[in-house]
Amino acid sequence: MAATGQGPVGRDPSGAPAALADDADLAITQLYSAHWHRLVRLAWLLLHDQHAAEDAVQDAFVATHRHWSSIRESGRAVGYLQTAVVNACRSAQRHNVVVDRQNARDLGAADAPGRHSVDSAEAHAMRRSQREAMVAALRDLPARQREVLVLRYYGDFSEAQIADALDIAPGSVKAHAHRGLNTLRRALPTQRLYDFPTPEVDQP
Amino acid sequence: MNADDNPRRPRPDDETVVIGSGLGGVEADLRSVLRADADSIRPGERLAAILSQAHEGAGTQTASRRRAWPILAAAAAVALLAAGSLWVAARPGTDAPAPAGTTSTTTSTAPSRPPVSLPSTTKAPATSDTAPGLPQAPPAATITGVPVYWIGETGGSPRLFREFLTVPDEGGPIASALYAMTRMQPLDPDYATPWTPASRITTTRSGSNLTVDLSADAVYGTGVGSEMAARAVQQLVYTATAAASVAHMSVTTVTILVDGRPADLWGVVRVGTPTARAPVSEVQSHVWVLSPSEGQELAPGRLSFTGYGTSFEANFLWRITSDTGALVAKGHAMGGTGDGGFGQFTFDQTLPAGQYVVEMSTDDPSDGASGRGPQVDTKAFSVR
Repeated sequence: MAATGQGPVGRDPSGAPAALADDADLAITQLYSAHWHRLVRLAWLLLHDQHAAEDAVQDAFVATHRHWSSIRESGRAVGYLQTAVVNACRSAQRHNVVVDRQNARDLGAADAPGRHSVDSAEAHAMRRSQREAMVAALRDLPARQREVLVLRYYGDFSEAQIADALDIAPGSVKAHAHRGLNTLRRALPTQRLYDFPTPEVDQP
Repeated sequence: MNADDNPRRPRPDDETVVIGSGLGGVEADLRSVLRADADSIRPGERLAAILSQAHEGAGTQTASRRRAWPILAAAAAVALLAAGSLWVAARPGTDAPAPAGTTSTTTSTAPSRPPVSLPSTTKAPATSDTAPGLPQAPPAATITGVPVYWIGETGGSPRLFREFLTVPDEGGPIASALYAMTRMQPLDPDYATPWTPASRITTTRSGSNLTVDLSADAVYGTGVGSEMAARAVQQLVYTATAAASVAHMSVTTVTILVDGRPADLWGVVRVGTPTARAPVSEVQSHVWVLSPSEGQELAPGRLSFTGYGTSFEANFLWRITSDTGALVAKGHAMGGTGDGGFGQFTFDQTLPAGQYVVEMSTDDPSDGASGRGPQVDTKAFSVR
């Protein structure tokens, strides 16, 4: 699934703007049904606060609606949305909309017992905890490295698209990704979580 | 933007790097972890809110944002709208029939809808109270796995027990859990709640504090003692924060209001300021039966039982009795830290078809001499 290149967010369908309606309401509705869930999940990965994630993506959609005529002309609606989502997430983080993450984690843990007690096999629990360790390591990365990794490995953005969305030089994308991956590798000296073939890298 | 973005000082390891070179394993793990983490949430629907906010004009963005989250609209409605049709359904009004399963005397001013059994964790469409003319969803939704705390008498005082329930969707896990706490009955008949059915509950989040505004009918009556009333406040705080964590929201304190104002609940306990969870060992039962759940049907054979709590020297006692009260099996199990920390414990037992009750209890080395006795939780279940 990971190597197909058909990412959850998808690539900017640069040839497709003609398919989007002139009418802003209709266009936003089309964009919403195609991208809302994916963008909220993307924002969730950046913020780890669902409410803040939904707010950020809502703001991005509202901004897209308000500037619809010029965005439609540019033919980059999805790219605009994605950039707006990333910016809104950065802004949410700066303004501390996302609060008390550790506390939230503790509360989540406090309420964990029993949720999976019926069906959780030991191996499943093991896998879960390794996954949680990687999620935690990802959260501890500098924001820019986390953004690059999320856009690349969840959003399947190309380097150029990441550079564009984050407004940084393409060379920086590589550097951030490499540093982030190295930190994750060092943080997780354990064996592989999942056993599937190594995906091709740097696929356009 | 970060200072290190552009221009960037050259670093020796940058040039030859192809993303992922030598890091293929980490990349593959990261992909699957991100996917799993992303799939762990269930985005709420906000199309109606987006369209209404977009039409409110520029400059009001922040002020006008609806903080009453999340607005749920039907995927079906979205699809219909996308196809060019606008479909409008009337919002259930105040004279909608009270949902089955809730107390029939409730005259609800909140959207009331009959619970519908759905096979999976989520739900179909709920409604949103947005501008007229925007798409509305049909009423029919439940949420499963909603944590609700109840109060049971054990070890000489009222203590909290938790159940995961399937409840009518009142607009996300928090509101749904709180409505259920006042309107529904616990599955386990040993538990109770001093709250009475609320006709209206509104929740507002501000930072990590959640304000829960109840209609006065939620605290109807007298005869609720001060110890029970204080526990009931924690029942609400535990329920709200647990439901928030299910919704992946950071809520650490809860401010309870009645009809918009601070109040004396049942005339004995003052609320109106942010309240955090009290320490778990003070308010929660020191033993919970996690599985089986009350009334669960199990297949015959070797059954696994799970409890959770804290006990003297980490030792818990258990007994299984038949429906006639005859002792079928008993034993002990280790769990928790033995010095106040809570933890799980498990044991297995083979049982033939029949009706049973499992009792799990803390170890009371004083044999009752301490005056409080062991804490206990029981579940009735059947094997067939």
